[in-house]
Amino acid sequence: MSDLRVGYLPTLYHTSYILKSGGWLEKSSGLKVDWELYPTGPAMTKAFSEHKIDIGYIGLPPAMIAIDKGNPIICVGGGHVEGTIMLAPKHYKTLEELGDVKKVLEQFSGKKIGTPSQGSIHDVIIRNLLEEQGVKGVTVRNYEWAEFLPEALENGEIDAAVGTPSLIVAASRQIDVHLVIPPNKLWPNNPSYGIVIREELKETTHVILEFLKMHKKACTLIRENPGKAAKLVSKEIKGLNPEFVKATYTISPKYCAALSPQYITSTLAFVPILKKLGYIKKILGEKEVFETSYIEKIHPEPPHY
Amino acid sequence: MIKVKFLTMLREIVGEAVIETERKENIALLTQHLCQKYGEKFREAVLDEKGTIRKYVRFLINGKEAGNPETKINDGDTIVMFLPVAGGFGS
Repeated sequence: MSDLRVGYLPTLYHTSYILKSGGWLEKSSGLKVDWELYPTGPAMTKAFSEHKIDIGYIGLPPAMIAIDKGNPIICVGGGHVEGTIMLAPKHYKTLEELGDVKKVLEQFSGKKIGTPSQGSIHDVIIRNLLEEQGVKGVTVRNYEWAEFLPEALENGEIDAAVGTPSLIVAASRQIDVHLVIPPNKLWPNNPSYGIVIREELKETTHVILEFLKMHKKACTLIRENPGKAAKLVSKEIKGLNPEFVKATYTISPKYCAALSPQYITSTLAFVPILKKLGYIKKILGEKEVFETSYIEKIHPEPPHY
Repeated sequence: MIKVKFLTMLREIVGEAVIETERKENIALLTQHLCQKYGEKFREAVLDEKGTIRKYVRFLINGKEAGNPETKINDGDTIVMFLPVAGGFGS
């Protein structure tokens, strides 16, 4: 019987791979930990509702969708912000060259932008940006797996892609691409992922605090020694070289366990969009999504985002 | 015959994007065959110490995810194989 059941996603810049690879939680606290890999955020929220996991690494949009449906979960820690990038082959101009987001997007009028599945944070961000900038005639094409995007760019099926920092690292190993819009210009402070618990775990405060302590330590390692962090991750995912992980870390190096006011505000800015898209029914408030008291104990200093 | 496509890191390891090969009965047998063909680095990427397919390795058969290693393969199928390192599904 385990003391803590942790759900995680195959997203290599989450601290899950570091904690798991180094056995950090077990060593620091003596807790018996079970790690369960889920293919998607919605699959993980289902596991939360079925009491299969106690704590998880998850994107905030799927967590908020689950909260709206009555799933008793709450976000107790941050992890990373600005985890969405836009890339394209090098014959397209970048924001730095054109100086205006609208001009960058207009290059794709009559063309296709590929992104992960509908409702993912990347999909929501690019659709919202196109609408906000009034850019017409761009087709957003969804792919169930981000791994198909480099190939789709390579064979001309799409003209640009929006996804995680890992995407540009993977794509640039196959084709000549570059960042056309950096993460902070797509949606400043957007919450790449957070730490979510099942409300019942609040009865064992020490477990939450111990987890957050190790999560914070791993965030610090990524910021201060990305090479060492990358080696731990590549020990956990065989076939993945540490250079790939390190390159991913450097695309948007905003790793921190804190729940900063900007993190919270940016997360809540998704609420009206999720409602407009029909993913949620009510307007969620801060207290329904976040419980900041635990991370304030572990991370009292200013955020590092 | 079947078609096997490799994405991202697995494509780098095997050095080719797509191959045609003789049909194997299921995903487990296909993986064994590919391990023999591509050697230790490929084996380490897809199998654990006990020879079981690693949890995070993904197989799609004609666009649909293979549920388990015993999932059957038919003649003419296209199998896509990858490690979800490009972001998976955007959490």
